[in-house]
Amino acid sequence: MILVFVEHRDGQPDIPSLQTLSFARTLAAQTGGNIEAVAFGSDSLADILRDYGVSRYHSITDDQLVAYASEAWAVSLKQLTDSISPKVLLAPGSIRGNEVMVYVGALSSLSVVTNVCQVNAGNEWRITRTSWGGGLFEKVLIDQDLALLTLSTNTVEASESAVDSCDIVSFTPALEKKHFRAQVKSVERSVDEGMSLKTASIVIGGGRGVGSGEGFGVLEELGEILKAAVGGSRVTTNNGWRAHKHQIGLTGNHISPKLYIACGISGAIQHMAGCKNSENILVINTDENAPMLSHADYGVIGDLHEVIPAIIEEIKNS
Amino acid sequence: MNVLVCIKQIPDVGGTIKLSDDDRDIDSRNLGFTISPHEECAVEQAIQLVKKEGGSATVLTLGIADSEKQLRDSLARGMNKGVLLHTDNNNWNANQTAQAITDTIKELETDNGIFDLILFGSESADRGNGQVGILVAHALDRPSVNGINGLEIAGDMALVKRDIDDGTENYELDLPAVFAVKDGMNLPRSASLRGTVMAKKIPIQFIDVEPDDTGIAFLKFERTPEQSKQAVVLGRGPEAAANVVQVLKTLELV
Repeated sequence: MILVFVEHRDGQPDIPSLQTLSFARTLAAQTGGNIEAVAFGSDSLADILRDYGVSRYHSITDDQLVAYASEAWAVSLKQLTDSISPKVLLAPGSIRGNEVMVYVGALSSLSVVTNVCQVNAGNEWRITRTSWGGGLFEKVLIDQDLALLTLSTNTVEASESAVDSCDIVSFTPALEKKHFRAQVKSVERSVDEGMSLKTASIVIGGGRGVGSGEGFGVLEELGEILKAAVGGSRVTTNNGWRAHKHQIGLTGNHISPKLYIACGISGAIQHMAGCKNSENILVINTDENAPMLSHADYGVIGDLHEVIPAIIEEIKNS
Repeated sequence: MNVLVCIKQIPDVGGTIKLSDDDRDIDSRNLGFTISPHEECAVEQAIQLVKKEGGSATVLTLGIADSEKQLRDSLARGMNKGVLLHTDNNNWNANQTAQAITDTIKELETDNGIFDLILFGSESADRGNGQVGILVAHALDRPSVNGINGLEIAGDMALVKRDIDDGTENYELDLPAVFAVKDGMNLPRSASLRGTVMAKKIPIQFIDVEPDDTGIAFLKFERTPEQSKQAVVLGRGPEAAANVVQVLKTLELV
């Protein structure tokens, strides 16, 4: 049996959790057994879980567990796995999913494999995980009675495949005060900022070639005309040319626009980790050997400070 | 306030990653080395906190002898002490790394008192397991939060912010505690020339370590499906503008 840890907001599972349920079905096709799920703080998940192939839902609704607490949630999952003995405990590779699972591993003296994208379940389990910000895969072998895995986000699409019914079983963990040492006191929900790097259909990115904070002016101007969001590589956020929240890359925003216009960016692997899901990439760079060009669909060889004003002029005239 | 920051040497790969012949390592023969951006922010945070609160800031790494360079760089920025857990083998997994670091912290704390704060980078820029901080916290029986974006100290408490997909979580934890820091929490300083000279004089404590056995074995790296493309060059300089606009029209973006 595969047990899936599901995250939800107000009874609606999030996309990474639905992807994880979909992945669990392909895994169950190899290992046999059914899919069960566990979540905190909701009694109303069974219908949607059934649509995603879950035949039993373990609901943990203890009041003190509604606010996220990594250790308390992990202790609860550990006690549940001890009682129902799944072959796999699988979680989304989200911030909370990874954190809780590593705690479960520590509590169980077992290894955890985070950010998994493929599993070959045989006598030994050969697992592929993403490494180097998605730039490489890493193959590992695990030999444990319980596999503790988190799924790399967007490895599979969330797809429904309903089973006949999903039982609800209530589970009550035994917890101590110390398990709540790190518990969320409050959550500030983010407000919609309109044109965001994550949602804009065009994103313009600036790199070292922009040269200064003022140098972003021309990118902003093009951004306004194209209704594009403007971001920067880590060089620009580290030099204070651009706020960190505008960083595109491994340690910043991961974008997936219809068109990404990369200006004066060499194309380090850490930057590619943040923009590789763009549908089209246009590069403006003085260096025709820049690595960015080998990831791009279109290129302009030239100085962005000359090329972008010409593009603005051309759009205004057309 | 005594702060420990754990960092990891990684090759500065640039635009493409070359693998060694056995696919078990990065071919780093022509590469420089660095640390993860998250870890640079952890180092900066420690320097700022110790400057404000007093105490000392220790930087620790587990790696080959050459990792001393990354310790020296952190010392040059303003960390006070350096510890190198020395090994010839670069393929340690998260459990092995956490075990060696935990053992060392216990020894260091017996000699010098506890670390009020232990900081890690949110995940290393190479393997990106994101596990060691939590494993060390658990082994030391201290609270932890992984991937924090804000940290303030108020007496014996740490006030912590962490961004999640749809908002920001607020935490209040008792010290001592363990945190893994995200890039963007501060603007890391560069090493000054004076700092670099001073750092050379600081003794680094070398401790030889060996990995324990665990239930997980690293096999090899594998390339992701070839994503290398041949970009269509639309032109050189400002003259390319008309072709760029044509592309925007083809993609129905203007």
